[in-house]
Amino acid sequence: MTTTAPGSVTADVAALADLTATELLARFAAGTATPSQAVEACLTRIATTDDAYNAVLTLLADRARRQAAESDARWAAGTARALEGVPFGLKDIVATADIRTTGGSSLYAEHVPTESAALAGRLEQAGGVLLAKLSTFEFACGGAVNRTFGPTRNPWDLQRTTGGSSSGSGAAVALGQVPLAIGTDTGGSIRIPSAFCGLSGLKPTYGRVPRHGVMGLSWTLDHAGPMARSVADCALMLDVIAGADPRDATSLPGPAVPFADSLTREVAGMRVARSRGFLEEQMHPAVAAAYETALAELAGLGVELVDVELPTFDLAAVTSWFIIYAEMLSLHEEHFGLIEQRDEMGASLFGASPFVSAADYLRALRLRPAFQRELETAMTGCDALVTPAMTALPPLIDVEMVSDLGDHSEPWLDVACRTNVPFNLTGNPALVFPSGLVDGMPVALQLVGHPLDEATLFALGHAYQQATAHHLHRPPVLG
Amino acid sequence: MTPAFPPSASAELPEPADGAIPAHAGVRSRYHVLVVLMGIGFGLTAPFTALLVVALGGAAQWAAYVVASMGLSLLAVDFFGTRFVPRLGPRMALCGASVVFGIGSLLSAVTTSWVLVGLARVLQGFGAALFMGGGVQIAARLVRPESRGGAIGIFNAAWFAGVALGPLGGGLIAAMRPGADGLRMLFAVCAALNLLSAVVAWFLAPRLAPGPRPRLGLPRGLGMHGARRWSVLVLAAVGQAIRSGLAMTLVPLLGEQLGMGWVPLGIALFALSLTDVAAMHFGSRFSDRRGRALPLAGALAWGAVATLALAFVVDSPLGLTLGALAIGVTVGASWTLPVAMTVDLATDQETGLAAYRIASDIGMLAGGVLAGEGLAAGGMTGALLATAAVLVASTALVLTVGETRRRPSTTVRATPDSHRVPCVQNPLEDSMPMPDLDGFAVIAANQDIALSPERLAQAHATHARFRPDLERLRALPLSYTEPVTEPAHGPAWIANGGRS
Repeated sequence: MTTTAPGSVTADVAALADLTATELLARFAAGTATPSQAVEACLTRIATTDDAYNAVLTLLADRARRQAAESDARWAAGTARALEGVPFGLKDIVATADIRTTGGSSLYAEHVPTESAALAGRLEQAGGVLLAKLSTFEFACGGAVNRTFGPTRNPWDLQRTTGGSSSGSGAAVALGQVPLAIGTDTGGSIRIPSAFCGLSGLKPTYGRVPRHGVMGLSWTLDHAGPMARSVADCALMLDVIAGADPRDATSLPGPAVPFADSLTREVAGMRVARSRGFLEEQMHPAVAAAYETALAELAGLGVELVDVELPTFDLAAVTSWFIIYAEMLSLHEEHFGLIEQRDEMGASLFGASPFVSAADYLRALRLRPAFQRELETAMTGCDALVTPAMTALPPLIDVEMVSDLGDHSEPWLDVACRTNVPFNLTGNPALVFPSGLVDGMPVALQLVGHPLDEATLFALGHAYQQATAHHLHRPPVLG
Repeated sequence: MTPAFPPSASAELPEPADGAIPAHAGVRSRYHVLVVLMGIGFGLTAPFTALLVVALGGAAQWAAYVVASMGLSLLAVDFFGTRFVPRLGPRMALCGASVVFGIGSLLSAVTTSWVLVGLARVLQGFGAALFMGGGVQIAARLVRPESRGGAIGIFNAAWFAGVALGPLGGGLIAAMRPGADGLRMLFAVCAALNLLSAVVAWFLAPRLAPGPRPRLGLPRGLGMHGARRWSVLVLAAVGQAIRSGLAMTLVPLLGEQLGMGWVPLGIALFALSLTDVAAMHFGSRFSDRRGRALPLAGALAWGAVATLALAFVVDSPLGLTLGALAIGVTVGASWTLPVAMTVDLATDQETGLAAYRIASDIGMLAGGVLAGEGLAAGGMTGALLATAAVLVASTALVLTVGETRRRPSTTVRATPDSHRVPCVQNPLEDSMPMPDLDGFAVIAANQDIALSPERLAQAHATHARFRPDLERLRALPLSYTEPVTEPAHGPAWIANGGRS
């Protein structure tokens, strides 16, 4: 393998952009590639794709090259760390010291934090190379049309949204601009773009990843987690970012055993619950058919699918929204006078926030344990719960997007959050991964685990990816 | 006779303060008296327009076009005035409606040109649109939001009563002079009655707090996607087409062909309006309980049979009156059931109803035009035959669309150790209505928050959408005697691995 001048790479080096983080680390360890080459490959991919897709808000090429050179030296010296030399991106609501962190908003367009978020620091301390700050819906709650930075487009279809709010993370990983990215998830913002872009993404257990330095939307429901092109990479990244941090009182300890070790666990004989009610009852017919096919593939692993009931889970969604509204107002109150400078969708959500009474907000918080117990009861005796990660294909980009459910359409946010936000409320971990293609667009499964049991999700997801090739499909634009 | 305008339930509801001041019964009663009076004024000439055109020398075909021309003004208002008409104050809306409609009637009374009658009909349409858009809005604002459905029902009943009485009086008035003179006198009386209504409206119109500023502009997105929704809009259009083409054009012209005088014809049209109103009234209630599709399909099939009878069997005034009675069922059902189906399938009620209104307006235009074309091509029998064919095709379309009524959500009673989140009816709901727009403005002001009227209305619509689920949440029992440490319980459950 050879290198050339920065910005110009050979075909062999360029192909590094298509490797997963796990594969890159293997190549670094074998000496068949270097972090500098990987960074150049990703920079080249960004140069050739980002004008069309708009995933990158702030490119950190020079900084990344310096870090990659240090990683090259570490690999040579035998002191490589867990993510040594692996390029990654951060959703631009994650604070980075001395690097602008915009929140996807004109209000913070020139904001430069003095301290990095806890998870950003951990990624760099593990040898990861921060390559870019990535696009996001404004303050993680705007719409697909970011009025300041423009829309991020889906690598599978330029006319469609990546979903959000981790829109740039979804597009960047799918395009091979970075193998790993951080997303955040208050109502599905890791899982929706992962599903829409054909990625694996994990919303960890609430508190598993400290949120220090991450712009908040709703502290009761906010999560941060990995987005990657394989379940194995999600485990790899979570091992680095999980664990308590004194600057986040809600954060929880990391795992006793590395998540990566769980990938090889036997899954045959595991019981996976499915609830045919609220979580499955409104789906586009083609997506529903693909979902049943994927469940058959899951069962083919020796997994037993068990029907369970979540009879009142539909109320989890409205409960979540009342918490989001109240906490959003509390967090963003100082910006309220600037509401008309925000994206239309974000402004419409923010505008509704002052009208949640204190009693309704506290009622929602008090009901949270009831939903947790309902889910606990349903999952008793099961290792996980499976749901569709998406019930409709990604909608066409518009200020007011709608999702096509076959016989009718609904506002996209209602549709997209339907299978996601309940698990933000309960705090359970949830993993999404590709499970097929419908009309040339990826569709995905979601596995929900018991709190603190991401390991089982990784085992199931990895086994599925070992048995199928859905996660290997790449957007047509990449050839 | 049959009301010539899209149903009042289709008027845009959420913009102005809804139920800002639950008015006392006297205010509502006076308002309903006014609505009956205006209904009579609007209904007086509706079925006689086609006859006036013919009496002034216009062909039957052009009579149909003139009847349909009101759809132009309704369409214009529904396209550009969705945020204008409902926001007008009561006096402006009601007085304006009567004055504009009255001027249109006066124009028809003084002219000897049937072309001008067509233009006058368009003017009448603007008056009708003002009334339909503004009148129902006022009715809804006189009560608390949870009573709005009933208020609209009473408004409709008052309005339909007036409209139904109109043609009976119209026939009597027109019979006082022969031919076109009698009809022109009828339009003159109609103009006078509407101007009188305007004066009465000035004094009886309720006083309400001003809502958001009226704005002209295109409607917001209509949110109608998918074959079923479009099919329902087609059915809505067919309903209005049947009204304008059959009930308001072909039936009166057939009566004239049979040599009926204005009084017998007025009685026949009154009979049609009776079953029309009855079908609207009872059909809505029935469909809420038993579904929409089968009643609508049945009504359309029934209409096809009745129309064929008009074409091939009826040859006497009594036969026409009986036929009109039968057709009224179809006309009424095809008005109210498609609007219910539209709301069933709409992304949200506001946009669904806007789409419904536009489809209805197009249907009204198309119905008259098609009736005219049918008359020109195949005479009365041909036109009726084509109408029957449309009704049969519509029946098939209804069966294709299938049932749209949403089943009532089930509730689960609380049990002490149930893992389910328990749901019960909220006994406090009657005393805790959702704040209206003015209330929202106060809530915002109390937090030193300023929102534009549009943003405030948007927030109100958002919370209105959440309202049913919020009511269910509020109905969940929460313990008073147990210690409350939220938000501690949620994270504690998580930290314990999801074990209670």
